[in-house]
Amino acid sequence: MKFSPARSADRLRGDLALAVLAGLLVLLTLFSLTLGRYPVSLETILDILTKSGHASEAARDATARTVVLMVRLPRIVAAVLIGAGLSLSGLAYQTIFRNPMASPALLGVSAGAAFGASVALLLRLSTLLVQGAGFIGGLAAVTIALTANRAINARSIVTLVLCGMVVSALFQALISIVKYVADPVETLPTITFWLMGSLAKITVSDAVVLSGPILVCGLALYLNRWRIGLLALGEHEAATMGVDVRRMRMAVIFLATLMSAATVCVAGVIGWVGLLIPHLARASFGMEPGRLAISTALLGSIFLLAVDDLARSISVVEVPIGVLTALIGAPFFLLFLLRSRQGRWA
Amino acid sequence: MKAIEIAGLSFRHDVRDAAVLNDISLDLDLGEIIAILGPNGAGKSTLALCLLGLLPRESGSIRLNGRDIGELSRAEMARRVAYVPQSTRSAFAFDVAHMVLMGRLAHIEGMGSPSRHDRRFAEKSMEQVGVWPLRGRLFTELSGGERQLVLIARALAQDAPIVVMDEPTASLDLGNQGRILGLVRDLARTGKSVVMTTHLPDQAFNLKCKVALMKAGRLTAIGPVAEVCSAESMSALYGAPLDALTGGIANELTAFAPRLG
Repeated sequence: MKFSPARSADRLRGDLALAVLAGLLVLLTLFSLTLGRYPVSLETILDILTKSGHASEAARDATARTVVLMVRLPRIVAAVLIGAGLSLSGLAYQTIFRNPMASPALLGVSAGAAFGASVALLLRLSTLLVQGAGFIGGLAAVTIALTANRAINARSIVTLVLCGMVVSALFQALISIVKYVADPVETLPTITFWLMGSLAKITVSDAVVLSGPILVCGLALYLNRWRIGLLALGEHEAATMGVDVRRMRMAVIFLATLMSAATVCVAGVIGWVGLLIPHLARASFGMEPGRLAISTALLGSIFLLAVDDLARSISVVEVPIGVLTALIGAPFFLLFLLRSRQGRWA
Repeated sequence: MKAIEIAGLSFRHDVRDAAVLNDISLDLDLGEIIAILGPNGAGKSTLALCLLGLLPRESGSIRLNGRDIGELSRAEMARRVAYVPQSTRSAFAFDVAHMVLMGRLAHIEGMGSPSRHDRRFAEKSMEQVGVWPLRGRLFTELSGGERQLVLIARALAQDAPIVVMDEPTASLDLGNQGRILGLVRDLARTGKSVVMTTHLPDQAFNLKCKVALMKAGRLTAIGPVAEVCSAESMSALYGAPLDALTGGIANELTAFAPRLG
C-alpha cells in the first residue's frame, strides 16, 4: 500500500482528463447537429434524439427529424468514426514501426486505398466491393513500402517515410490513369470530388458500413494495447518479453490498414489526422497504453468533427475536408517539430 | 539439472558466410554467473542472442532447465530468460515505471493488461535496483547508467530464472559499473543464473565467477576466473601484449592493462 497514493492520484487525473474529452465530444456532437442552413434548436434536437417518432407529430418536426437523423447525424457519426479510425491507425503504425513519422498517408496506405477504391468506382462496383478494393490497395501499398524499406536496410526513420512517399507517388500516378479513362460526365466528377476528401455525401448506409471495420479493428487494437506497446521497444526486446513479433506486427498492419482504407473508401483521402493526433495524445496523456489509445481516439474524433463543422460552415460552398485538415495540420505539425526536443526524433 | 546447457552450438548469418559461432558448448548452474570475454566481433553478442532464441541455430542444442528452446514458445521463453540489452534507444518517451512494468507482460496471457499484483511486483523490482526515485522520469531523459539500472529492474520484474546481459557496464563510469556488478552478484545470490558479456576481466575477478573466453566464434577456455585469466591467456585472447596488475589491498583482484610498444 505504501506506493499507491502518488500513482493513483496520477491515474485519477488522467481519467478525469479523459472524461472531460468525452464530455467535450458529446457537446461538440450536439452543437454540430444544430449547425446547418435549416434551423433546428437544441431542444428540438434533444427531443428528436430521445423520443421515438410517434411522440412528435407536427409537420415541421418531421422535416427537422429528417434533417437531423438522415442528413446531419450520419455525417457527424462518420466524422467521429473517421477521426478515431485514422488517429488509431496512425498510432498503431507509429508504435510498431517505432517511427513517429509513420501515418496512413505517409506510408502510402491512403493513396493505395484510394487507387483500389477508384478502380472499383470506375467499374461501378457495389459499396462493399469498393471497400474491399480499397483495402487491397492499401495493403499492397504498405507491403511495397515495407519491402522497399527492408531491402534498403537503413535503420533510419526517414527511409520508411521516403519509401512511403515513393509508393504514394506511384499510386497517385495510377489514380491519374483511372481518372483519365473515367467517363468525364458521370464517373470522373464522382472520383475527383471523393478523392479530395469530403463528408458531404455521407449517407446512413455509408456510416453503417464505415462503423464495422473501425469499431472491430479499433477494439482489437485496444485489447492488444500492452503487447503492441512492447513492439515500440524493438523486435528483440519485444520478443524476449514474450511477443511473437512477426505475427503481432502483421496483425497490427492488417487491422490499421483495414481501418484507414475504410475511411478512404467512404470519405476520400484525409491527411494529417493520423500523423498529428497521436503526437498530441502522447504529449498530453503519456504512454500508458489504455489512456493513450482512448485519448487518441477521442482527440481524433473531436478534431475531425470540428474541422468538418468548419468545412460546412466556413463559406456557402463546402470546402473539402482533406484540404482543411492539411491547412490546419501542416503548420501545427511544424510547430510540434519545433517544440519537441531533437533527441527524441533521431 | 543445469540452468543452461549449450552443446555444439553453431550459427552463421548466411550459408555463404563464415560461422559466427563455431561448436560452442558450455553450461551453467542455478545461481551461477558466467562472464563471456573476447575481442570485438568474437561473437559474444551473437551467443547471447542465440541463447535468447532470437537467432536460428545452424546446429547444436540449447537447453534451459532441461528443455530445448526449440520446443518453447516466445511466451514460455520470456518466463525463463530475461534480457538486459546493451542500450535501448526508445523512439517514444516511456516513463520509468511503465518501462519496468512492461517486463511483467511475460506473465500476462494474450490480451490481458497488468494487474495490481503486477504493478506491485514492478514497484518492488524498482526498489530492489534503486530506481524507485526515478519512477516518474522519462526513460529518454535518463543518463546511461540510470537507463541500464532501469533495464535491469525490468528484467527483474520479468521474474525469469536466467538473466542475459549484453555488456551491462559498457560506457558507464566506475561508480555505475560498481552498482551494476553489485546487482549482478545479488541476482546470483537470489538463485538466478546470469550470463554477461564484458570487455573487462577484472569484473569477473570482482564477481569471482566463471569465465568463458571467446575468439573468432570459438570458446578457447572456460572455468573459474582465477584459473582462466592470466596475462598470457588474456594477451592471446585480445592479440595484444597485456600486463597483469595485481596486489595491494585487493589481493584477489587482477586487472589487465595494454603494454604500449
